[in-house]
Amino acid sequence: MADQQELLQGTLDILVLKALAWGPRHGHAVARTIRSASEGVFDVLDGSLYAALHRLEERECVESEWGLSDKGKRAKFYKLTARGRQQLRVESASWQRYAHAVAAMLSATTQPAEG
Amino acid sequence: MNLRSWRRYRELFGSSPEHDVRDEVRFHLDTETEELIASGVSPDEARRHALARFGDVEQAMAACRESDHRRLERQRRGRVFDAFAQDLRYAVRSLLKRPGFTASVALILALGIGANAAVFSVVDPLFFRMPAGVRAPHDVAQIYVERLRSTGDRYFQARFSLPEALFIDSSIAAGGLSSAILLRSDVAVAVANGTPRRVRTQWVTPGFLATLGVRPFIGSDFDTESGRFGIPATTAIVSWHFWQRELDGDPKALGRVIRVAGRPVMVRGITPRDFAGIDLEGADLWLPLGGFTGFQKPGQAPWYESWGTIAFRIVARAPAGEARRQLIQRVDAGVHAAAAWIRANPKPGAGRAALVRVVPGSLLGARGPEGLTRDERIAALLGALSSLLLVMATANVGNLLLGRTVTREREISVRIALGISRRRLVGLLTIESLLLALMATIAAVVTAAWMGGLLRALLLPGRQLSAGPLDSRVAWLALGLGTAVGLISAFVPLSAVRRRDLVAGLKSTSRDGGSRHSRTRTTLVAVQAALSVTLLIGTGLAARSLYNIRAVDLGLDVNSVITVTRPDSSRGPTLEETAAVARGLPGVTTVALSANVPLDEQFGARAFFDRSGDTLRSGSVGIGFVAAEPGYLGAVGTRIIRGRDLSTADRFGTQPVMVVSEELARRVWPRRDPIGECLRIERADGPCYSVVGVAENAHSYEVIEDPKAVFYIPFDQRPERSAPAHALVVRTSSATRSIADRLRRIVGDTISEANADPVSARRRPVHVMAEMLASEYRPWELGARLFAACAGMALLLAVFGLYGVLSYFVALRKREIGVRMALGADRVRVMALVVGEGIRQVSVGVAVGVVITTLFAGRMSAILFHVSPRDPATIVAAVAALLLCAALAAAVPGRRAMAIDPMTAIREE
Repeated sequence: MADQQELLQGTLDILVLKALAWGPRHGHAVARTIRSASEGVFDVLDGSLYAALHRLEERECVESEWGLSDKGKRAKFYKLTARGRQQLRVESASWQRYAHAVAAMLSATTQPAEG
Repeated sequence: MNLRSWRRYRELFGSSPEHDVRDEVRFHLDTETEELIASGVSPDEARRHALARFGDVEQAMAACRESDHRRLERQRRGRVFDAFAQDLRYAVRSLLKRPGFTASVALILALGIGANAAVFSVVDPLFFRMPAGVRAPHDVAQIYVERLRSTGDRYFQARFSLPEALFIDSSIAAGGLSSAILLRSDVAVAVANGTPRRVRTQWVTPGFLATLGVRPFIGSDFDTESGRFGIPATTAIVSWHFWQRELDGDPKALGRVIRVAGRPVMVRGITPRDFAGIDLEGADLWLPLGGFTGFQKPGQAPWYESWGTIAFRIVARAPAGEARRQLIQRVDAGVHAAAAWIRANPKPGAGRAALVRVVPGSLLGARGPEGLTRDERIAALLGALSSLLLVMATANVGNLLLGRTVTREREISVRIALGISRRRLVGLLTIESLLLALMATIAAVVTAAWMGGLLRALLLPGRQLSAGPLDSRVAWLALGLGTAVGLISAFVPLSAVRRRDLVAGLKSTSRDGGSRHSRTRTTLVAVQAALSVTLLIGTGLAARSLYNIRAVDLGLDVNSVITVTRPDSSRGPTLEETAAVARGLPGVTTVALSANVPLDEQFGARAFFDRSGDTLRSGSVGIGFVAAEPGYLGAVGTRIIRGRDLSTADRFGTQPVMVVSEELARRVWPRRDPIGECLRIERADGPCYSVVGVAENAHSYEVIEDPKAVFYIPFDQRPERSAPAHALVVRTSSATRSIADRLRRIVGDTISEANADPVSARRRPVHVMAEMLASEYRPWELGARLFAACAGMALLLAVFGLYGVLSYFVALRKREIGVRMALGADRVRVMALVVGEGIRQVSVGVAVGVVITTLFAGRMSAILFHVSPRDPATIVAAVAALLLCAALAAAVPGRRAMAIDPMTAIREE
């Protein structure tokens, strides 16, 4: 697991929001989604994930409800709120701009014009 | 049913973050473990792996719980706030729906609260607020001594002659305590070339500021050098406000020279901003007492050696306890030392009544041992009255709100039926009355600022209080009263709501809902009637006192006589020169020189002897004499009852003659004709003055005084060494005031009328005699006016209250009245029914009020003059006035009742 990365501060929240963008799911499912979507690059402890979920709920980006899992067990399901959806839109746009700029800089083959 | 499934139902009652988080984490770990087992890992290994992936379980759970707690707390608060906002909106809407009701309630409360706040703004500095800027003011004492007259009565003395004050002061100093002597006096001050202005000055010994714990804001305190007597003052300490106002806040003001009473004085210090002396009225200027010159008379002993001028106060710092006891001891020693010195070196006017005890009094004069002055008593009474008014206003508002609750009964019942909690309902009604009270409070603060200023002008005229009429203490009081009144007035309808029978409220109309409340309402009306009648009686008594005191025969014609005095230091024309000018003025009928100023000073002869040279014993105590030019009695308007007046023929060298007052004649020659008798003055071998006439008793100083034994002798025949001509009496036939103004210009009184304050009128050189008495009539006028204002307000409140109750009464009985009318009752009887009901409700209160008044009559007598506090005529008039107002208030709903159409009223149900 040598190539696993420490997650940048605040990044976990956006990943959680994105994981919920496809529909309500419980915490374990969110963990599974992030793990598989990131192809094992991020080392996210499940504990921090739950802390993030509750934090997002406190900020009213997600709301929760108890329900039954696929196997009929009682589980807490999380769902994006309108505010969470808005937050995801804003954050992901800003992330993409950031990532794009970093990528552009790193892949540059000629020296950019100076000031 | 296992525990976990039971917990599921807990959600119905609200979730618990502790259990939720544990369940959630357990679900996660179980699922993870199961999935791992499914992929072929051994159960133990799977569990371990799941835990490893989770990280620190306890820490994560704690983070989750904290988030949840915060979220839930916020939600709870949000719900409470939402409910409050909703109630508030509802309350505002329902108040706006009836603007007339809202406005009248707010107005009643504003008057009640405003009156209280205004009165407080006067009462506070009088009784409660210690002088600002003084360090630990309760530790500073003003020295009072109680003395015993030979006649057996005791009195308190806060003012001392300077030599005696110095004895006391140095005795205190010897005990290691700090003390100072002070004297208040107004002087004219000019800054640069400005016109002189009268400012309030304190002449103090050097330790004054130090004793009070005040350090100059800039500059230095007086040093001991400026404490020497007889050398005119060269330096002054000015107040911060004087510095700002007169010296324009000049940063280089120290060392600047101002003219005080015509002499140059250098500013040596400025006091801190909040300090304005220790008296109710602020002071602007402090000068070294040694440099005072005001009392000096030419050709006489230095003023500071006079034992006869009793004007000096002493303050000392001595905290309660040991230091206080020591202070008392030191003052006692000082008084005795002064007495011993006087026994060894007898001085005129130095005799003192025996010392009973020493009392270190409060810096607040009203709390000193001397008791209350009339003004202070009025202020205290006013405080009581205004709180009564507030009680009335509160009762009235409670009444109005109650009436409203009754008309809203159905609405409230529907709300209860729809599931509003009682608590919410109570909150709703409370918010409504608090909202009303808040509106009223804002109005009240404005009212208080205005009324406070007005009251001060009335109660403490010419006094510039160092504290403004509206300060934070007054504003807080208004706010506190407003809130209290809001809560109390809400309580009245609430107690009705609590008794509400839900079903009855839904079923019935207000027709049968009223009887339960009517007792409360009737009580409120009775209370108001009682207060009104009490105040009306008070007004009547105060008005009669004022009338009586105005009717007092002074034996002087104060309105057409001008007196002119000449300050010894003045450079203007002499009295003789002024007299000559005055004689030529149109409108002047008589001018006479006199050795004394009528109504201001009078000499007393010390010894009397009869014709044969024997000491006169009978009634010779306290005989005053007036030495004046013939014509004086005619000039001041004192009538000759028997015999003749003094005439110009009674000159030096002719037979000495005198006119005596009725009182003197009665005392010295009871039941005998005084004409032809004779009296020797001062010396047994002096000339015998034969009595040629008897004059009516004339007042010597005040409006209220016992008849004085006085004799009048021609100025030319006065005993040797008695005072020179000191005053001029000018009688006018018309335009007295404009003549007084002309005389002012002639003698050079430069302070214009606008800048003069009524209190110091006596100290000015020219005045119409009536002006000197103005300050004596004033409290009586004030008492009558204030009582009338309070009674007017109370009556207004009571009339409104009764009107409200009777309108409601008519509304309730509409059907009954309709039936009566259908059965043949005529309209007059209907009117009589309503008015009778009004009178019935009021009369209980009237009876109570009359009883209260007679019970507390004793307390009133202190502010009454020649009228019994139980004066039946006044009581009857007050009761009649109230009943008449009640009948008028009842007639309005009565007319409405008369207009009821029987058919409609009966069919309505």
